[in-house]
Amino acid sequence: MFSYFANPARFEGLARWLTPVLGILALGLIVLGTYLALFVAPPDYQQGDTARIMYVHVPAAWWAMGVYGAMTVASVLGLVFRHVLADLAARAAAPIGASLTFLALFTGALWGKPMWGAYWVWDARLTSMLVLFLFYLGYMAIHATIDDEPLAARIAAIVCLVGAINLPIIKFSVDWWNTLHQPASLLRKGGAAIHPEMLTPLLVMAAGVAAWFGYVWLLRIRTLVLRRQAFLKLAERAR
Amino acid sequence: MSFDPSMGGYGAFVWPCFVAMVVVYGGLVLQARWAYRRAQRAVNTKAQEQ
Repeated sequence: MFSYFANPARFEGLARWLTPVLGILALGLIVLGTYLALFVAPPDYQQGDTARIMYVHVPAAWWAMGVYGAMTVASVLGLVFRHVLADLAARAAAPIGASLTFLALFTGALWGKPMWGAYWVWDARLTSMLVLFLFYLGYMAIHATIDDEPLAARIAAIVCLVGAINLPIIKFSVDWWNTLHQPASLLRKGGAAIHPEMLTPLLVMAAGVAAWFGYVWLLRIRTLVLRRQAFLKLAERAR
Repeated sequence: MSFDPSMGGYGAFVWPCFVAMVVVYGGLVLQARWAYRRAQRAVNTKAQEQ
């Protein structure tokens, strides 16, 4: 499948109709999720209305990690199989993942202040998320500073693979260390520890963010493909 | 169900999160669309020049 879509023309054929579908889906799900989060979901029995921050914070944090996972897969494909689109896909995903990580850190800080009394603590979960943000910035810095695109892609892919070690650290940081951040309440032994009335808006928002990521990612990959085409046409003329 | 925008006094922390979400998600969509249109124009211009 990966080899099939490594052809830019085939990829464009799929992306042309999938991009608007994902855009409409993202808008619908995020608007619905926001309505459910603010007007339908009940306040938490301990945290009150502050718990509504969860509907922005948790999907952003999940997908901050998910996008890095997608970048890791693309980096492996780029390094091992030298797929044309794999490097572009990883490169296109980085600013999206960085934005999601920033949003998770920002909303986490605003949640931390009323609940913990501090915007920031050097807790294992918070620190590992900050490390993820730095990996995103580092990855983007490599592409921004190295003009030789294939070389930049190779170095960035290796950095991305090194950073992937951080993903299980983020996930299990709340179990491995004594953290102020709460442990997992959805993917845990014994099932979800969250009431369906709160789980539904959370999952709707997460699905909306997934569709949003798909929309922006495809658009960014298509932009990089077009830029490469423009560059090749220019190089052809110069010959 | 009545909706309290101050959210029991915690609204000052909740609203900025939803505003940040709109800014980040909307901002990236606008930037991606703008960059795509610009790249499309660049390719079309090069094609016409040839």
